[in-house]
Amino acid sequence: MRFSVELVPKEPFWRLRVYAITAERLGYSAVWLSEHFFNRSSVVTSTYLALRTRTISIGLGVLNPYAFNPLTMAQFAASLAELAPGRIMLSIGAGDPVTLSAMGYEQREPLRRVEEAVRTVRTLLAGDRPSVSARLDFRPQGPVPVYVAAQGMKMLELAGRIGDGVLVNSANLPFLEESLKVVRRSASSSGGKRVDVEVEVLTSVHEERAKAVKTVKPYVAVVLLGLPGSWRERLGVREELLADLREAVSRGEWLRVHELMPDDLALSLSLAGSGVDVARALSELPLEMMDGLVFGGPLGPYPRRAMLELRRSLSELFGKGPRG
Amino acid sequence: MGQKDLYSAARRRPDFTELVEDLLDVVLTTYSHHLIDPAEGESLADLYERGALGEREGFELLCDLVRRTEPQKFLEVLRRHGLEA
Repeated sequence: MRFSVELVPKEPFWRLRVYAITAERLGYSAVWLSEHFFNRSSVVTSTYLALRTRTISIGLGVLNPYAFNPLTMAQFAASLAELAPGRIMLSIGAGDPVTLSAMGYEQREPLRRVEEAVRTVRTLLAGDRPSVSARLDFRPQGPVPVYVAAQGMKMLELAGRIGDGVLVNSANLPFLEESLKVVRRSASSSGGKRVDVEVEVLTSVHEERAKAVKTVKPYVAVVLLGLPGSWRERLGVREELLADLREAVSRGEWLRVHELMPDDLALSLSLAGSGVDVARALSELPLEMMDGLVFGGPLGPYPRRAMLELRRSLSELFGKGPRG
Repeated sequence: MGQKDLYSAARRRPDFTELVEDLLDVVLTTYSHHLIDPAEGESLADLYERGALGEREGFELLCDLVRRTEPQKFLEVLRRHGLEA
């Protein structure tokens, strides 16, 4: 079981470097850099951190095939792999509809687009040509596993079938168990291929639970808006609340999101609370079905302390550090 | 108290390591990070990487950045650790 952290490039580079060094020292397996057009570029941030760290793996994205051409994704990944051989991972997903809409894209045929992107990228990284003129004139140093980020059942099924790995985005226990079953079933029915299953869970740690919950709310809102409608119904989310959250998120009105988001809803989609709270919640996750857990942003009001606290919790739970 | 004297006084405290961590967390979370030049931020990260924030150069840079971005918090952190600026 591996443990990683997600860093959100809304911070200045030097801060992200401090966090990445902290994660590396504490024995986390990887830092994943999330991609949102309104933050710093995950590609540039990955490049910076590839040069400023030594051992920790760096996960690029999630990149989506609407804003990024698959040839460009392969180019990014192969270039990065030259800077940090064997430490680069790429994740591809369908993006979230609110963000895509703000960029002027419509999320059409997400399954087909993601599958096409993954196959194209993998072909290019292997040194082959997906078409006559599409190619990379250089090879990545070391393997670059391609992960598929997935939430909905069809995307999870696709991810298990075509990904080297799957990034499952959910902290809600019933959803997570269902999701993992779909991925595992899909992978085993695809010739029993090995697929690395990482679960990303929004995390916020602070000794005062209220502060931890408050910090995670904007992140939960973004995840909530990207959830399949049937899941939102099961969570009992009212349409009016969704509409208000959608408007607030699209305008970047995060204080409004804080006001709108009920605590129990935030808690149902995140690990938020004190280190003890989070450790308790972690112990209830179906860890035996997972290969790794990514503590997703924000980590907490004090991310560096949160990483330390999480490490302590992991040691208590497993008797060892994040690399376990 | 001058910054040089502040370092000497801080260094003598048994909770010096916690003081440095508290100051670091202010710099890492302040919304006024636009007041920190990227080159200064890189210097801070260099010192952090070398484990040198508890040395004079690191501590003085840390104090300078916290004082600039969060003057009130700077005083509060010092007070919490039995020091004054």
